[in-house]
Amino acid sequence: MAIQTNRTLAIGSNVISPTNTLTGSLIYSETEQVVGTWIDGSPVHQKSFTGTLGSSTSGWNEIADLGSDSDKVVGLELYAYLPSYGQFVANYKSGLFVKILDHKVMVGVDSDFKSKDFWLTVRYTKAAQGE
Amino acid sequence: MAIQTNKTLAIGNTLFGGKNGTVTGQRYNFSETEQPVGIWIDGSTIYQKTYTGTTPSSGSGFTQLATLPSGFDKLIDIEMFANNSTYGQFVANYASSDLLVKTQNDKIYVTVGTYFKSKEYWLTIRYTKTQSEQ
Repeated sequence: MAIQTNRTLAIGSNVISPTNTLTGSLIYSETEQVVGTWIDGSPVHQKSFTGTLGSSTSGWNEIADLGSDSDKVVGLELYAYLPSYGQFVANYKSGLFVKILDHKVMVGVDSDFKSKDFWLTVRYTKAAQGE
Repeated sequence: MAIQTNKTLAIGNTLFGGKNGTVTGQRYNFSETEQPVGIWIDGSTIYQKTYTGTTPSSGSGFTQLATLPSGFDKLIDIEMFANNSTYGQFVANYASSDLLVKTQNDKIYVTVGTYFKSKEYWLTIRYTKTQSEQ
């Protein structure tokens, strides 16, 4: 195998790129980035969101917009922080539910989780142009 | 910097290390064909495989969804989604019994509530294999 010197070199936990900066798939950003490919070969995009959960405990509330061209969500990690109780992972009992509807990430929260800080990372495909 | 030869070496998209030698692929390159994507804490290879299909149309409790790859040992990660065209894409595990997933022996099982029967699903597992299958 020929070593391609314009690519990333990692030894142990140290990752070295030609410019000596960290790189790899575990870099989170609030800017959309391509992090892989889906089973049909289409790109998998990743985007992180941070904010505050809605104050309503009724129904579903939007916390992130994936864009009108988003299609299939293939990865989703949502956490919320309850002071005094800790960081919780969705879906936690009936307190922190999550789903995707009409290109938006929606959550349902109970009185414990309302108005709490959250951080969310979503990986998704996009609809092919013309679909 | 000292080179630790018992750890993973990655050049580009190719990882070298673990008990299985060369590992090719990235975590977020999904495939319905089993592929090595990383190294577990004991040095064994982590494999990844994606399944797609339709959830069971009937039944209560856990129902068989798919057969695990040969040599499946420890489940490292599982991501399952199901799409209800009216209510949206949901992430397992959802609610107390609406969309739950587990592995047992050589199978993947799901519990699906009314809104998740006969729905499109996609599921990715990451796992190690038994020594004999490494």
